[in-house]
Amino acid sequence: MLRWFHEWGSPKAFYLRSGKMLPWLACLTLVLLTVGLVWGLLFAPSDYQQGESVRIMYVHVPAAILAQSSYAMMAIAALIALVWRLKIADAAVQTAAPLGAMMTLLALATGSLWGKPMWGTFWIWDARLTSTLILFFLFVGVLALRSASGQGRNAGRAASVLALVGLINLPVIKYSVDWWFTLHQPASFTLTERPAMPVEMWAPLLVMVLGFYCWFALAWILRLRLEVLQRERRSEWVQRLVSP
Amino acid sequence: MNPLIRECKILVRSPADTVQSVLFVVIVVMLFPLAISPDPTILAGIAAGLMWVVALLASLLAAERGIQADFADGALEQMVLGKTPLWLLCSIKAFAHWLSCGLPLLLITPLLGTMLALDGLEIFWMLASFALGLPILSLFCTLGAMLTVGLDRGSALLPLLIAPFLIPTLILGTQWVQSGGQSFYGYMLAALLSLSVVSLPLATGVAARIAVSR
Repeated sequence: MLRWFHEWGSPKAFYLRSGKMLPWLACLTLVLLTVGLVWGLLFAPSDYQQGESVRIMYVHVPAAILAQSSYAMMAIAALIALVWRLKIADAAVQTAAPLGAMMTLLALATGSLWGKPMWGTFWIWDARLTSTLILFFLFVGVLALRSASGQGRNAGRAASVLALVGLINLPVIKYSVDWWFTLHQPASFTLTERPAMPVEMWAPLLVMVLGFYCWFALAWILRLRLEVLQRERRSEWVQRLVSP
Repeated sequence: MNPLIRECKILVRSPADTVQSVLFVVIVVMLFPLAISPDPTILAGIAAGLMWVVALLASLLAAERGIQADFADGALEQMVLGKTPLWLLCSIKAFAHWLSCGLPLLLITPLLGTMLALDGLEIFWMLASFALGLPILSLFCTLGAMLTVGLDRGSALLPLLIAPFLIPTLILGTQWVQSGGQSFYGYMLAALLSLSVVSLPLATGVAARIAVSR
């Protein structure tokens, strides 16, 4: 385990190894997203209540799932960066924050577009919507703190602390927003209570979720590689790589 | 010197800071009847949420005060290097924030409640929610100030980082008052306070170490 950490943790090893994985991951992402989108948007049945607009689900649900899990991934990277002081983990926190913020924004935007035909409004202070919005601000906080911290050796540590405190706080925020909602106004809308989804609908959804995960991994690795090159620009191996 | 006595001395010798917090709160609360409506029923309906939002803003505004000065004159570095455990010093910092911002706010709550047309019982629950909730705000604000101290745009950054963490306190505090003192919210607020008291000073200590190594 430690050895594995050590091997992947060095920026050079990460750069060279991830380079070999990249084409495979890119192909997988492309296939999954294409299959999922075509299947979901063209061939999956429309909902008997929601009609064609249910197809927004094939983008919205993967984005929302990824928004939450990318925060967890970022916080795990932050923990590794704080405890083992791996350079690569610090770069991972820095590059995950904008991606996570983008995913959260996508979930919010598609959700609001779905809300208009279904609920008759773009925005409603529903518990889930509110906690997703708060999640967006948590991402923005980490992003802002990281970019204000500069490039020093310890620059990323404050952002890592913030990401970890955020991870511990997320359940508290989630539950408090739930209580606020459930006791504040009657539950007129529920996002989850749908008649059990038929296979023809959840199969393309599953493909899309996997595709989104692959896309996220791909985008994360690409950004991480760029970040590694920038940070290690004075080292010998980067010099050799850039000017052969 | 005992760090607790030191904080108290700083507080007593610069009363302007405390006065500033109080005046800020009173002025902002005064703006709402002017902007929304002087109608007592409308004001009483929004009073709890409004006072909590103003308390939150005042806490954020006061967050940097003690820590920025300590960072600038090197006292923070001495704290990190000294023998006293860092989590204890950070707890004292949060306590100082509460003394200069939370406690005065608690004292003027009856006044604010009267300005916003709350009756006696509602003011009592407001006091109770502030008593349990304001220390949580102080602990989080101290953490935020430690995270951003010494950064270029630190003071502009702080509210952005910390405000999302204050939302649970805001919700529980407001709901406690608006539900007329339902004990569930009180217990939850107390639980949140105990959790924050034991965990946040540790994180603040880590942040302090980072701040001086920057």
